[in-house]
Amino acid sequence: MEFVRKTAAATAGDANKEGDRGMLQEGAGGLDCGPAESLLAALGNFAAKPEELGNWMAARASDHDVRRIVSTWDLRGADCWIGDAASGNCDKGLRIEGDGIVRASKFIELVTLGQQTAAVRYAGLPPSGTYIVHLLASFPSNVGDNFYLSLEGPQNAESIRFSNTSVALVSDGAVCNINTKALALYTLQVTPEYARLYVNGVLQKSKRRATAQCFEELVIKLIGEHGPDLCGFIHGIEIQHAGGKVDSFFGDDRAQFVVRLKELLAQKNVSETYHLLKGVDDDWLGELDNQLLELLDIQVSERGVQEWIYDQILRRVSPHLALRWIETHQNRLPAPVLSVQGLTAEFMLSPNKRFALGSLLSRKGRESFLVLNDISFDVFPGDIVGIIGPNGAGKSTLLRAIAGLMPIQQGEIVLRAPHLLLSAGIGARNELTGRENIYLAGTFMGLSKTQIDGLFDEILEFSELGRAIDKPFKYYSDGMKGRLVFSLATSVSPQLLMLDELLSAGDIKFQKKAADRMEQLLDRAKSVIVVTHSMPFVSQRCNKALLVSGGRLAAYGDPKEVISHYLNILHLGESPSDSDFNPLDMSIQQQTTAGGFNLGA
Amino acid sequence: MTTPTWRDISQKPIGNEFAMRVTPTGIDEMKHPLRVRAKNFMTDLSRIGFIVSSEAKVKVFDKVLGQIWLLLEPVIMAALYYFITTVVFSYVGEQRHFLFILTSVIFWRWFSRTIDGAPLSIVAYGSVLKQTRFPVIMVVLAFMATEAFFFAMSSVVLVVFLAAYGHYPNLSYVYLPLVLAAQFSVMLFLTIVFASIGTFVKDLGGILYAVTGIWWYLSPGIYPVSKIPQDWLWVYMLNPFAHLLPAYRDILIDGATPALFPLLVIFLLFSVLSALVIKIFNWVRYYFFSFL
Repeated sequence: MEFVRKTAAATAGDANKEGDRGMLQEGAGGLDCGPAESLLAALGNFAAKPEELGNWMAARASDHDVRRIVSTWDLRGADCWIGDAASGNCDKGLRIEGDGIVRASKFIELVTLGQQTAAVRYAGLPPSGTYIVHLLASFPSNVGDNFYLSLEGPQNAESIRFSNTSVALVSDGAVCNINTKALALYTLQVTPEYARLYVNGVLQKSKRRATAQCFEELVIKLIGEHGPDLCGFIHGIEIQHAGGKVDSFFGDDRAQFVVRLKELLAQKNVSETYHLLKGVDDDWLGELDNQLLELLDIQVSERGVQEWIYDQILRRVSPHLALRWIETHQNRLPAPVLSVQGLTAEFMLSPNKRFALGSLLSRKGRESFLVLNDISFDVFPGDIVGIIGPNGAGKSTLLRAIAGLMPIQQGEIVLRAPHLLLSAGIGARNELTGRENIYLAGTFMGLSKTQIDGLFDEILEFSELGRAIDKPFKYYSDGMKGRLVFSLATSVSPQLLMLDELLSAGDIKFQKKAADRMEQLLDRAKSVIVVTHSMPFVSQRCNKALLVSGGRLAAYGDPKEVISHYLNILHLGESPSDSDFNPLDMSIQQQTTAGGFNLGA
Repeated sequence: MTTPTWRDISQKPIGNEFAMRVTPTGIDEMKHPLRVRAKNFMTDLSRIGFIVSSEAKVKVFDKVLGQIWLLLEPVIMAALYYFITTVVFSYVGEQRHFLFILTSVIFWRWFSRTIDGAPLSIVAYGSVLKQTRFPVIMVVLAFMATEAFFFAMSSVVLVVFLAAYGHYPNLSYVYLPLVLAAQFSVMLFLTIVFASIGTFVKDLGGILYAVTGIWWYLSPGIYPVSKIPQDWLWVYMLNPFAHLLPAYRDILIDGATPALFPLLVIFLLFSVLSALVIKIFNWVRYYFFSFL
């Protein structure tokens, strides 16, 4: 298997560019700021000479006074590690868990069929200090977003999540775009002050931790799900520990950071620059303030507003330069078309009993529950906002509250543009024909007959109903109904368009056509809010995302990072307590959630 | 020095520049110029027209008896009342007693159908009202318009019977719009009230069905007002239909001028009450969502 000489600047999209290696080698040789050439060489030769990587690790461990607890490269291969665990001959701390498959061949293979789980758990970690875990892995097959490397303790955990295109530091929702299909060395380093993620020896994320972390176990886990089988390959692993702090295991992190920042600034890459800044809590900026502010000039001209990019960059540059930039640009910054501030709404537990005689006499039946709890966000011209979250989280209710369809208990919603909320099956009557239902639904959507007349031919053509348009609606198949409603719903173009689960209608052929139509619709509307379960849509088409969970705004900001946070809820059960995403503090969210998704990507 | 966030630096729109503002106390919408409002009103009328035609088709057309039932039902009802009063109770009223009853039944059925259906008029559009900002008052007006359409169709049978008994349009017909307007104002008020309450109290429909049944017998539909004892007349005449039904008969059967003053009072009183409940309705509508 080819080892990709790939670094922090590498993304899934440009994984095979040769330039990255050149940059790294220059950094490594000239400034001692990147991974040593010897590491890159050892990784490159790993298939033929795995002991080279072991030797490199041993030397570094010795230099930094680090104890090597487990190492699989230079002994008898990864297969022995697992094999010994199975026979009980070797390491007593190692366990294989779950109903999925963990098998050893040239490498350790974790496979899940359906909703199985496959895990390798090592329980021999010292109670405190600095933990370093190096995982040499590749994910050439589908791994979903479901492969985890975790350090787990009685009170807390520190995890990395792998997908085929990214690696994320779980508790921060910080995502690093990288092609994980190729072999790479992933390192999770947790000191009493920091959690750091390295890929091939290059620092990707460095996030401060408020308290010293104490871990007992290392867990490598693949969580299966409905749909395709998942698979990940572990080529080797090393667990290291030190009693005190360990800095710069791979080289000078700060110098490396500055080199990468300069490179991204030269490329005028706002998004990646933001991710780099967001991923590293240390103040390593150097004298690059003016160049960073120039990036904000570019950001002002982009479609939509990613507030968190402004907040991150303005917070990182010198305060007087930030204020000067603000004075210069204040009048050019757009105003929101939708402002939601402190939105709180309640539903009655049993509205049908509210005015029943028994309830009135006993003064019962008034119990209610919070369906939306203190939600705040803005939508600007050009924004495409994806709202995601579990079923029953309050996503559709949020759209309805914004559209003024239900009472709210606290907060304020201000819309400054004509809006339209579209959801499936608006008032269609089974007794009427498709043609009549188009007019009836159009009427309910606020269109006049003349307006519907103007749209009718387009709707008919797009829905592909042909002569069936004059058949009663009750004789339509579900697919035909979906096509008709989708065609009608997407024929209008208000300034603020809200779509509630409209992304799946008809057969595969129609869905492709529908996806193209959605593209046109998104281009026509000035701002769009979409409630959806389609993560690819959110990550590829939205410039910001909201995660609603239990009625709260659990995350807000960059779509990929919000999705990452959603995965935390799905896979880990709940939002980590030390997450940056604080639903109650909008300003913190805007400062800390990462952003910068390129719509054209 | 604290660096401002985006929220601090972005442009703040002027307070009253909004299309819509939702707060816990209700919804404020941008006030349009008169010309736009007039245009919107005409659009709303056409939308009501379309809903009426759709509802009419759903409820009547394409059914086995369809429109025929609209004509048959009042005749059957009138024949039944005629049988009960003349045969069972041996009441010998006017010569045209059947026409007397039929006239009452036609106009009363318009009223009773509308009132009986009012509690479900909003709930029936629950899915639409939960998904769109379609004005709730238009749902109620569309329901009334649909019932008015059915009334207009069933009144064809009255025209036929009037002609058969030799009654043709005469000068007194100029008062007919006033009587219709008076009845409409009563219906508008009651429909909005019951549509609103019916959204919250689900069994109001059943209660109203009983109430309108009693109300019918307390109105001069199958007997003349003259049958009411003098002592009770002042109470009896508080019922708007004690004025409306005789007025219809005066105009259509007798070709006479009805008592105009009570009709004017009914029209004005219920128009004012209707305007008042529409105001309250616009406030209550905000709270419908949970009950739809």
